[in-house]
Amino acid sequence: MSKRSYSNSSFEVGDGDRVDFIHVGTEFPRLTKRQERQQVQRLKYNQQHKLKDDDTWQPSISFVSSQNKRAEKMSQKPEDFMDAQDIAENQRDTELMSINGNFSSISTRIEAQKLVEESGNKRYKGIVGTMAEWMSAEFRAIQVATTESTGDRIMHAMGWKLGHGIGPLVPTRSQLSSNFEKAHESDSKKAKVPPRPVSLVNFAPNQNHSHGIGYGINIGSLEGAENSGIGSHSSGFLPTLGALFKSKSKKAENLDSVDLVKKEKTKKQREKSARSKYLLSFDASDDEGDIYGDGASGNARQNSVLSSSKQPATSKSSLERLVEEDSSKNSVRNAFKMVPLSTSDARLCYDGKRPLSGFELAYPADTEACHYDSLDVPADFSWIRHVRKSRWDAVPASGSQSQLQLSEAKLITAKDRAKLGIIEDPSFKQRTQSALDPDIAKAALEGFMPFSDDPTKQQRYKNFLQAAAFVTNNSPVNHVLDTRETQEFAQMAHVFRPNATMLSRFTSSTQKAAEALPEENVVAATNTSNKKTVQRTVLEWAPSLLLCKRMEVKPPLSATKQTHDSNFERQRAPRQRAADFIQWNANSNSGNSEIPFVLADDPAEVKMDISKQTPVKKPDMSLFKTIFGDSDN
Amino acid sequence: MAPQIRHRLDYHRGSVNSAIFDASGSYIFTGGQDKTIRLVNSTTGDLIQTYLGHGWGVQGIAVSKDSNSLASCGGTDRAVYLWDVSQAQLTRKLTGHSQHVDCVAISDNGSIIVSGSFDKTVRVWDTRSSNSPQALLQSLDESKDGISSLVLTQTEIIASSIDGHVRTYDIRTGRVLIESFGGQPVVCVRIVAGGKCLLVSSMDGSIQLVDRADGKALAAFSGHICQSYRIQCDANDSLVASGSEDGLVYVWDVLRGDESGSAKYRLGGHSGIVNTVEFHPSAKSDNSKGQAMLSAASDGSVIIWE
Repeated sequence: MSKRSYSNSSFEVGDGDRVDFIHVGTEFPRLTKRQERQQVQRLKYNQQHKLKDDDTWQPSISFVSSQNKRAEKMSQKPEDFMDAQDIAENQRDTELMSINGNFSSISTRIEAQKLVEESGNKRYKGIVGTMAEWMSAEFRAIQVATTESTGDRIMHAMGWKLGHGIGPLVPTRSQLSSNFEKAHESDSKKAKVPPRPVSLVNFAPNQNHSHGIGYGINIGSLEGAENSGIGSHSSGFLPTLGALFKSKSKKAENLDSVDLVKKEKTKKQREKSARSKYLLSFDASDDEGDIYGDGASGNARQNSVLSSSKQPATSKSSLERLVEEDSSKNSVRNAFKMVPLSTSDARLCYDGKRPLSGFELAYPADTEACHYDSLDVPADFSWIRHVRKSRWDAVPASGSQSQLQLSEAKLITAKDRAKLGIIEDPSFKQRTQSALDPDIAKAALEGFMPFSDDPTKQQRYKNFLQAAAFVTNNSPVNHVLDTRETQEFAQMAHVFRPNATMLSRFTSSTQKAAEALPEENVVAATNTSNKKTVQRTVLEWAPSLLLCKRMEVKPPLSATKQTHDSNFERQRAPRQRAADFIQWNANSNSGNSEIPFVLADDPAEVKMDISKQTPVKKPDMSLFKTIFGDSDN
Repeated sequence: MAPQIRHRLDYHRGSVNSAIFDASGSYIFTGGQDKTIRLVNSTTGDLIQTYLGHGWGVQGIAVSKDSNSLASCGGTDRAVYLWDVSQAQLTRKLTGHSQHVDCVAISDNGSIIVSGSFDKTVRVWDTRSSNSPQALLQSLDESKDGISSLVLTQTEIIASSIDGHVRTYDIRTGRVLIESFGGQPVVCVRIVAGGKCLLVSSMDGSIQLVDRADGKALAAFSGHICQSYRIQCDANDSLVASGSEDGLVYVWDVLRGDESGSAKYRLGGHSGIVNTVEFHPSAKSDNSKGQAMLSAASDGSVIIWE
C-alpha cells in the first residue's frame, strides 16, 4: 500500500467548504475491512482472556484460513487422496530418506542443506502440503551430487574446468615470445592461463619390432628395408651382425620411429617375411661349396638371390655387397654361413601353424656335441677310505648288481650295499640267500605240512626244512633261495610253524580217539582221577602302602602310593595323615612297629631298601602345618 | 561215627545264605535273605542279637578275631556294612561296588575289609578312614568274572572267581598268583592245613585240595551236586565237608578222598539247598570237636552238628 500523505488533503464538507487537515509524520496504514475485523476480535479475545498485551496473542501456526485457500489456486495433490495412515507412511519414508552431506557436491551442498532444512522444518511443523515438491527437490540434489566424483569436486573447487590441463598456470605464447612478462611482472599472474591438457600415453607394447635375443629380424616388415633393396627379395637376406648394429641413416631412423607406432602388416607381408627367414649357423666349416649348406634348393635360392635379375635397380646395402663378394669369390664368410630355408622347409609349429612374426623355430640341440665322456679313474689312484679299510669295506656285499664299478661300490656303506644286493663275497652271498632261520625251520618241522596233494613236493619241503634246521655257519649251504620253489618253501615255513599261544587254548581235532573218553566212563573217571591240572601264572602286583601298613607287612618294591582312585591321595585329608603319623609314632615307641613311616610322594623313594634300617624320614611340612597350624593363616 | 544234629535254628525267614562261627566258636553269625543278621549262641542255640539295617538279603558275613567288628555284605545293596557286635549298630557303610557284593572278609584286627562283588572287582577297605571315599584302599580288577569267595590271611588276599581262577595277592612280594582249575567256575576257596593247602570247590561238582607250594592237586572230592548255586565247603585236618544242592551235607575223609571218590558221610536234615558248611574253629586243635560243624540251607534252617 503506497504511502500517501494525507497532508494537504481536503475533506469536503457537505456545505462545500474545504477544510484542510495537517498530519505530522507518516500516515497510518489503511486497514482493510478484514484487518479491522481481526483487530476487533483480538481485542475481544484479550478482554476475555484478560491479556494485557495485544502482542501476546498470535494466530496459530497450524491455522490455515480458509480465506487464503480460496485465493490460492486449487490443485490436486497426492495428499488430498491419502488418509492419515498413508500420510504417516509417507512421513516415515521421508524420515528414512535423508540427504547426506557427504554425497552432495560442494556447490549443491548448500542447496541440499537448504532443502533439507526446509523439508525438515516442514516435516516437523507438520506441513505435508508440498511434500511432492520436497521429495523431488531432494532427489534432484542427490542426482546432481552423484554425477560428480570426489576428484572432480576437488578439482572444481580448485578452479579446474573441463578442457584445462592440470598444473600451475602458464603464460601464454605471446607472453613468452615477448618481454611482456618482464615488463609487467605484477600483472603476469593475471595473464597466465591454465595449461593445455596432456595427451594420453599409449603403453601398448609394439609387437612389430623384432629386436632382442632369440628373435629373428623380419626384413619384410620393414618398409625401409624393402625400399633400400633388402627386403624386396623373395628370399631376403638377414643383414649381417655388423649391419644390425650399424648406425642407420636418418631415413631409416624415421622409418623405425614410424614402425614403432605402425599397425600390423598385412597377411602378404607376413608370408613374405616367413619365407625370407634364414638361420645363421656359426659352424666354421669350410670349403663346403654351398654357403647355404642345403643342396639344390639352396642353389636355386642362391641363384635367385645372387642373380637378382628381377630386382629393381636400387642401392645395395652392405649385406648385398657382402653376398656378391662371397658369390664371386665362392667362399664362405668367416663369421657365419647362411643357411637359407626353402619354402618347403618353412618350419611349422607342432599345431601346424606358422610361428608368430619375430619368432622362428629352433633346431634341436646337438646332444652329442655337448656330451663329454667321464674321465676314467687312474689305476694307481687309491681312495682314502679304501686305504683306511673302514666299515665301508668291512662287510662284503652280495647281490646281483655286478655292473657297478669297483670305485663306486666302495663309496657305499655296508648297509646300503646289502640293500642294493651288491655281490663281492661269495660266502656272504650264500649266507644271506639262505634266509630261513634254523629255529623257524625246526618249528615248522613240527607244524602243519602243506602240499598234501603233492607228496613229492611235500617231501621236498620237508627236506628243505631239515636242511635249514640243521645248517651251521661253517657247514656249506645246501640250499639257496635262488629258486622260486625254495622261496615258496620259506614262506610256508613262516606261515605253518606252530604257535605256542594257540596250542594252549585249542586242541587239534585230529588227535587220537583214544584220548576222548566215552560218556559212560565219565563218572568213573571223575571218581578215580578227577584231579585237575593247576596252571599257575605269576604277575606283578603293586599293593598300596597304606594297605601294607594296615596289614603290618613290609611293602614290597613294587608298592606304590597310588591307589585305585587316582584322586584318593589328593582327597585324603592332611589330618588323616597326621593321625597315621601319630599312631605310627605311638607304635614305634611301643616297639611294635618295624616299618618306617614314609610320607614321600615319590614311589622311587619308597623302593629303597628298608631292611637296611634306614633312618626315619622327616615328615613334610604339610603334616606340621596340620598339627601346629599354618603360620600364613 | 557220623556227626549229629545238636541244634536246629529256624530264626530266619527264607534262605540262609551265610553262617559262620566266631573266633572262639561260641557264637554263630547267620545272615539270610530276610535282610537280617542273627547272633546265636552255638552252645545253647539261643538267639542273642539281631542286626537290622540291610536293605536286601545278606550274602556274606565276616567277623573279626576279637569279635568286636562284624562285616556283612548285601546283594543289591552294593555296599559293605560294618557293625559293632556288642552295640548291634551299624558303624560304617562302605559303598563303591557297582554290582551286588557276594562275599566279604575282615582282618584279624578289623582294620581291613575285603569285599568281592559281581562287578569283577575285589575292593580293600580301610575301616580307620574318616569317611567312605577315603576308605577304599585298593581295587583289584584282574578277575574276568564275579568274585565268589574271599579269604584274607595276614599277608595274602585269596579270591576265587567264576572265571575259573583263584588269585592269590601276596602283599609281601607284590605278586599275584593266578591258578586255573580247568576253566570251571570256582565257587568256594578255603585255606586248610595251616595255610599250606588250598581247598577249591568248582561248579563241576568237584573239590580240589591243592598244595600251595607247588600247585599240585593233592586230593579231589566229588559226589555232591554243585552246578547252579554257590555251595561253600570247609575242611579241617581230617575231614572235608561241603554242601550240596540235594539238601545233604557231604563229608569226606581227607586222606581217602581220591581213592574211593565217595563221601564219608552224607548228612541230611535240611530240606533245601545247603548253601554253606563250616567246621568249628576248635575242630582243628580239639579232637573232641573234630566233627563239630555248622550248615545253613535255603529253607532257612541252620544246623549245628557235633
